[in-house]
Amino acid sequence: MRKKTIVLIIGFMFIFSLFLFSETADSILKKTEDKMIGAKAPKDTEAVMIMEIHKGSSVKVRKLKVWTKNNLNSDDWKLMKFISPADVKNVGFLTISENDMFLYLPEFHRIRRIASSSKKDSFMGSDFSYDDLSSSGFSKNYTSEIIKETDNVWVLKLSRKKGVKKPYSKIILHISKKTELPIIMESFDNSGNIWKKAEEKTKRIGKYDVVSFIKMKDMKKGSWTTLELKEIKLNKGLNKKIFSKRFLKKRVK
Amino acid sequence: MKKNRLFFIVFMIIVFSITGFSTEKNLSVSGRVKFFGSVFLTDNTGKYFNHDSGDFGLKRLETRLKIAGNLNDRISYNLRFDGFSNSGTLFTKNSFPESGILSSPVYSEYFELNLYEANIMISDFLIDNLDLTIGKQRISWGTADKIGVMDNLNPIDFANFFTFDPDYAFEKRPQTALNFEYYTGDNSKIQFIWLMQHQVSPLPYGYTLLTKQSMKVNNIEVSNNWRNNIKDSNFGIRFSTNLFNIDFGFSFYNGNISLPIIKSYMLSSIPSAEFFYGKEKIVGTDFSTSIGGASVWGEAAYIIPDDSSGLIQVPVVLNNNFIGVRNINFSLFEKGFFKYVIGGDYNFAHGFYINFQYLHGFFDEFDYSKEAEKYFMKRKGEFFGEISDYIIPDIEYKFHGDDYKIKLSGIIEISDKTSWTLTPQIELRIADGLILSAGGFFVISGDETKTKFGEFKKDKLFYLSLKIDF
Repeated sequence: MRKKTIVLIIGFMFIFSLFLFSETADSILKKTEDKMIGAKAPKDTEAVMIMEIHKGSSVKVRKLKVWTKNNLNSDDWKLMKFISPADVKNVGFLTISENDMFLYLPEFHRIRRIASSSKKDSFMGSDFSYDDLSSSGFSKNYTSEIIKETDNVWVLKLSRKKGVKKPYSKIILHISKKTELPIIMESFDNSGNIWKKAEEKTKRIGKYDVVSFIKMKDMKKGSWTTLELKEIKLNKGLNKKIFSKRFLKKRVK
Repeated sequence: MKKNRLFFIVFMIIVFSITGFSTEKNLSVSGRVKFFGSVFLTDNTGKYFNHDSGDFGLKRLETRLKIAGNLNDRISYNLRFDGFSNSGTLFTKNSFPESGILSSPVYSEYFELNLYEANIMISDFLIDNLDLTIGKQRISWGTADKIGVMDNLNPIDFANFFTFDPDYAFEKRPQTALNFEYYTGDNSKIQFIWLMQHQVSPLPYGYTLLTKQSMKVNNIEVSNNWRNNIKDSNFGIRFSTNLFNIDFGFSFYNGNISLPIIKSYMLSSIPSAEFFYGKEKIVGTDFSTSIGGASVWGEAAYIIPDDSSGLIQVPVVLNNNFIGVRNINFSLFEKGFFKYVIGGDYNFAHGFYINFQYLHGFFDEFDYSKEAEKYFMKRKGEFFGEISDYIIPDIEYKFHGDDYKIKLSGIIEISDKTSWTLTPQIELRIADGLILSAGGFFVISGDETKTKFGEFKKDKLFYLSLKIDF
């Protein structure tokens, strides 16, 4: 009888733990995505972005205007326009979906579709790739499992799903329990070596926690780039016309 | 006088931009200062150039001033002035290099000013989703990289083509136009362009004399068969859309040919030739998409030149006596002909990039009639000749965060005879907006008389360029 009870308890604990961990990893990721791109995220964002590219002793500063629209049941839209420096002013980058990315080069008066081979490329000399800046969410492309939990942080391991064309084979995601947003993201290449490490900071604006600062370090090259969002305006009711090739060509004020 | 007026206009605009409009927060003033210098590496007494090794090709200082602003959310304006000068002194045969009356060196220094762009854009003009841009503007059609067959609304800058400055390779000149763009959906657009001037490509300095010499004629007459009225204006219509992740465009252009075409050749006691700017209609389609990680694009244009006749006039001599002239009339062009381009590019890992295009029909080439080929000796492998085929490859390697770029481009002429042109370039981004580049123009193989670029075999040159954008 006693033996039976022990087996029952162990079996129950095993089933419970399986249920607990698999559910927890997915539910944590869902919570995070809800706050990043889902129902708990701002409907739209307009901000000024300061990009600092650090290579050795040199620091290059780029200023951009960014607009994002959170589409609940489809891909998010993003538009970035360079304000400075002068040689890239009015260069624009539009993301409609992961397969529809466009770059506007005013020097050539042309809008060019970005092929998937370019998505892993550096975005305008920074440590961010086009894919880093266009991706929204993880669960579509990665399976998740919880590998560590502390009082303040969940650590998830995200593994690329079969057949998915994403540059990172694996991502280790540290999520703050307080904000439910990522604070550290370590991305690995196809050989399983660490490639990039992103550290993120959030800011409370109204009822929203918004990622306002990212430091992206290329662990292979040693260079890093920071992105800081300033003058953040949320839920302005941005017109969908902004996320079009028409607006992509327009001069940024 | 004209130059002084231009100076005055530029001066007033600068003053206004600094004083009157400086409080306008939407006003943006930007520009460029650039030096481009080239040196020939070979001796040549050829058709286009006459130089010794070590001679300067071009020493050009270029300035660019761009002023753009918004009157309100819907109305914006855009101006660009280009100024060019040469470090040399302007000598004439009959006088010393003197200054202007106010001691300005206007008569002794090379200087040219050009209003490159000046336009006003009105968004949602009269109805929603209709944008109107009026003024001098660059309107780019097609999907091809560098050289296309659809980009026909602005004439090619044939003069800068011969400077071998890569910033101006295949540059098109903006034109004064009314440009209506109506956005019918997220991905579709109908565009109507009415060009308020006929298109004329600037030709290289000294081209008239060169033509006279090469054709062995004393006189050249240049004519056009257009009238300066609404009915005879150039216009274009384009519809572009996206279906199944493929960008498509369909267009129609009705206007003049921007390059001079030989029309008649008089072999009388004073040989002369007549050139004209004919008219053409171009029906075209283009696409771009990505396949297997690569960008792929293509353009096809069906060109229908207006009926144009050529004339050759030969003297009739009987027993050493001139008894008259014989006129031979014939059609200049085939009724219609195709030009097309297909290409793609791919980004490899670690900064390697490759771009490839196959081109059938350079911008100056036409499908001439058999008679024109016979009497005007039109053939493949020459400027203004018959349609030829080209491969245009481009390999780039960027490193150190895009601060360094090594680029090898070329043009391989693959018609009856083959020529290889290589244009290597090294680019260094010294600081934001400051780029130093060095490169060359080398025709490494090709028959000098039977290929288009083979003629430049002895014109190998090296260039250095430094430009700053502010």
